[in-house]
Amino acid sequence: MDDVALVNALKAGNINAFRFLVDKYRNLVWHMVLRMTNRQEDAEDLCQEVFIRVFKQIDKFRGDSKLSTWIGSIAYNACVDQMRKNKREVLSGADPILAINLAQSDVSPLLNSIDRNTMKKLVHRILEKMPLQYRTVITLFHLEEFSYREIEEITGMPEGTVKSYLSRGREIIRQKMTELVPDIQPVLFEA
Amino acid sequence: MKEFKKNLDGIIDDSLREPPDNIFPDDFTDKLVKKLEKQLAWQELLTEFGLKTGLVLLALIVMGICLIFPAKTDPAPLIQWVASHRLIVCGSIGVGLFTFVFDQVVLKYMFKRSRQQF
Repeated sequence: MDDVALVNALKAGNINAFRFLVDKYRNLVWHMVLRMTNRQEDAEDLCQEVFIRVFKQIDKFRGDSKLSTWIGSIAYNACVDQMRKNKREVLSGADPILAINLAQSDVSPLLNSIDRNTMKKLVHRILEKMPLQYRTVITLFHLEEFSYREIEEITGMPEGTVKSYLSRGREIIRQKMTELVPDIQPVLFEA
Repeated sequence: MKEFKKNLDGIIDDSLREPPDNIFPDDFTDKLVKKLEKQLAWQELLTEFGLKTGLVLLALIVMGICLIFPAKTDPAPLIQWVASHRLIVCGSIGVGLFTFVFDQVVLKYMFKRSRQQF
């Protein structure tokens, strides 16, 4: 079912269309919610909340953007609302390098055996500790493959800011990895 | 140095394209659809109840206006009677409302639930 037919079916209140929508976009919503909130225990409830909002607000979807972008913006706003309600970090202007407070206990199990897979896990750990706007933009760009313009529509951040967060975010991950893994060179050049 | 940065960037790119490890619950869609069906059922029943109550009240108001105004009846004795028997009047309205809510909302919801099993 293409998105136009799906939206029309949802507007008619078709529950099977809703089921189809959830199956199609659940990964997008799940990844956004997990990365933004960093809390598995709240993620399922919040994902449900996002989809219910999508169903109830479907009449507001005009087709100006892709359905995935519109759903992404609902998920983004739901996460920000939830985090404000729980008085957790929202968008902060703090220096991201200072914000990344990786305890030795977070990473020492990974550092026992350094290979490409553990390096990837380390990148994920660093990402979890980065400020919200970096986590959000990195997830939307790299994992969900949205364009800069689409990320701007989802988050309300100007395109220039999105590019800046992506570039700075990559720089931070690079810096943290070389700090945490002084013997990184052999892994980088392994076959 | 360039080679180092290129290889490190390669690992970072691969890693950022991988989803988080946390497992998505298998029954997520089923649970969500049931939750939505429940919410929609409640919404439908409460809307119906609101409309019916509104109609009944409107009918009573129209009836009252038709009784009082044409005959130019003085409503003061009626108001006095209601005020002096307010416990009975409020109790009757309460019982009537409770029965109406139970019949039009609660029972209907329970029947819907047993039919659709949500």
